[in-house]
Amino acid sequence: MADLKIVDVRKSYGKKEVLKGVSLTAGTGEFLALLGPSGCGKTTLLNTISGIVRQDAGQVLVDGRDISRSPIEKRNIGVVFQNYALFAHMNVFENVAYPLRLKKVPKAELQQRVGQALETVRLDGYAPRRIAQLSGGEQQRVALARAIVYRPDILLLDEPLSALDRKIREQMQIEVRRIQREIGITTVFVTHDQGEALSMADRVLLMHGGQIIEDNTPAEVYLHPKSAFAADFIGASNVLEGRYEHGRVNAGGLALPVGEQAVSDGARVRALIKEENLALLPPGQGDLSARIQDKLFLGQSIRITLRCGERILFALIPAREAEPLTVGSDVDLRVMGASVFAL
Amino acid sequence: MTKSKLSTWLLMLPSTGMLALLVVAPLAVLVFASLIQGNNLALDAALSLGNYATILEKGLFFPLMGKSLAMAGSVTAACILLAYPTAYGLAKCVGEKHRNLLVVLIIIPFFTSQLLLIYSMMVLLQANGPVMSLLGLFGRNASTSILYTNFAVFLILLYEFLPYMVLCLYSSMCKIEDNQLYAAQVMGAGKARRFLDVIFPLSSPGLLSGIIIVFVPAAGSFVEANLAGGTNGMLIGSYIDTNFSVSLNIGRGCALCVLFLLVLCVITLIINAVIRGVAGRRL
Repeated sequence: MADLKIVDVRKSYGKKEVLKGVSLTAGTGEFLALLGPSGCGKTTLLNTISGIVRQDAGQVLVDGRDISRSPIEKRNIGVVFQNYALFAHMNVFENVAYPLRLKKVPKAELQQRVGQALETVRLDGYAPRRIAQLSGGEQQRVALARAIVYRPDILLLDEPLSALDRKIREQMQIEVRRIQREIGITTVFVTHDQGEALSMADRVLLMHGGQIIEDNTPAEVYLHPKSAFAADFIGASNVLEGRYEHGRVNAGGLALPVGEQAVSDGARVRALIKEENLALLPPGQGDLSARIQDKLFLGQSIRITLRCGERILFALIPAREAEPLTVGSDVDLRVMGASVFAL
Repeated sequence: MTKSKLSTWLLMLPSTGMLALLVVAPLAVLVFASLIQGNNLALDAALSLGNYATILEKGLFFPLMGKSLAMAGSVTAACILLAYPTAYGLAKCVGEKHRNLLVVLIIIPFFTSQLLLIYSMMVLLQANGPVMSLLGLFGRNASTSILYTNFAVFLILLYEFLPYMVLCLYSSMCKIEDNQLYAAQVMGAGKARRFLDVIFPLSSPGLLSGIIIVFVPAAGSFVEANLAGGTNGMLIGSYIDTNFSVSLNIGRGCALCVLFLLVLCVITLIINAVIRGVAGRRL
């Protein structure tokens, strides 16, 4: 178990700068999610920790020890790859035993530790199976067992759940979190799925254009994003650009009351209102009126398309509350929360 | 028999017919001809094992067969040694942009006739030729040559068969994911362990087909030995060839072919078992 520190890591491929001086710290046992759209540099950053990518500048420190120049095989880091990278020519037991065999662990201890790792990922009894006989979720568990069995200092997970069906993916999110807590290993998890990052991690690090632009708890990142990109990337939002005046954003003939914000009056701003932060009220009770143009059934919630003057806005409301609202009827809107950034 | 089953049989007819006509029938004729005496290839010919008895009596078959197997074995071993790094480099180190060009360069010798390849190698190796002149710079007598020795035959066979081995290994190595190698490395495997535990077992199907594609024709080769092997260059292939083209003893030639075929079948089975055993020892 160890803490992880990355200091000003830079990496370019030719003229393209993929990492523009990234720094982060992870305390012992902490679970970090590197979240970002594809091409933001999150996998490259992860690979500089394992050594698969050599950074051009900067340091990777594990427990204060700089491992930047160590070869991959000497770093003692566990990795679960996106496509699992299991050895198809070995059975489940041999896959998990492989790192221990490399370390020449005595036979009795090896048996015991492989058994324990398989138990941790709830695959006891699977030891003699061939990899080809396993489902995606089971292969995922084998990869996880193989990555933790040799007690690495840091565990890296590179979009490990993205190839799984939705239901199994949700199960595995809980499982990965449970296992991580159980063994208390410092973990960095790469994902482009914001729901996954928010539900699993202690801290979410949002990456954009080779930089970390947000580093906070999931709740803070979601509720109080510090940048327009973060507000837009996490959750679905209505984006309006206009001028801020006395607690309102004037955008295209619309005056949206957004509350007191930390921007000066008259400033050009971008306001982001999460779809679930737009409340629908009976006519006359809200701040501005709108007409329901469309209803999209999503299961537990309904996305409502609203025409508000010239503008189209979206609101996400629980399915039960949406029933009495019919297409074509008039409603009032109230903004329950907005993120406003000066441009 | 249902209609779909019938059509399956009809669809299989051309290929089955080809196989029967071009493999099974000639083999039957070969075995039949090996049982006749001299050139009396008639349906009512008297059949006997006389040819086999003469071959064993003469005592040439086993020494020549042994020599051919040794030659083919060393050519195959050298091919494996040279082809593994080449195939690995092609599949895992070269960028995709240059890969196709390099593969084409490896295939180019296939576009030249085998005889031309042999003669050009002989020109390169002959006394006072380019290779010997180059060695002359390092104090070797350039007017002598390794041409007309068994080593020259070995070199020519190696040159001819190396591309086959490279292509076989290359195609199976392309299927190994980079992440499998990284996974082994992250877990602590150095270069040697990555080769033994990941690359070798996962490329063993390619190795097996490479060995068979190189070993079998190399064991039966005779043109190289006849042209560049000198007086002591005779191989089992040359012996068989002599029976057909010089002494015109079809019966004995066919008997030799049958024996040769049996030996190769046994050896192929052994190679197959060994490779599967070694590569699969961790299964």
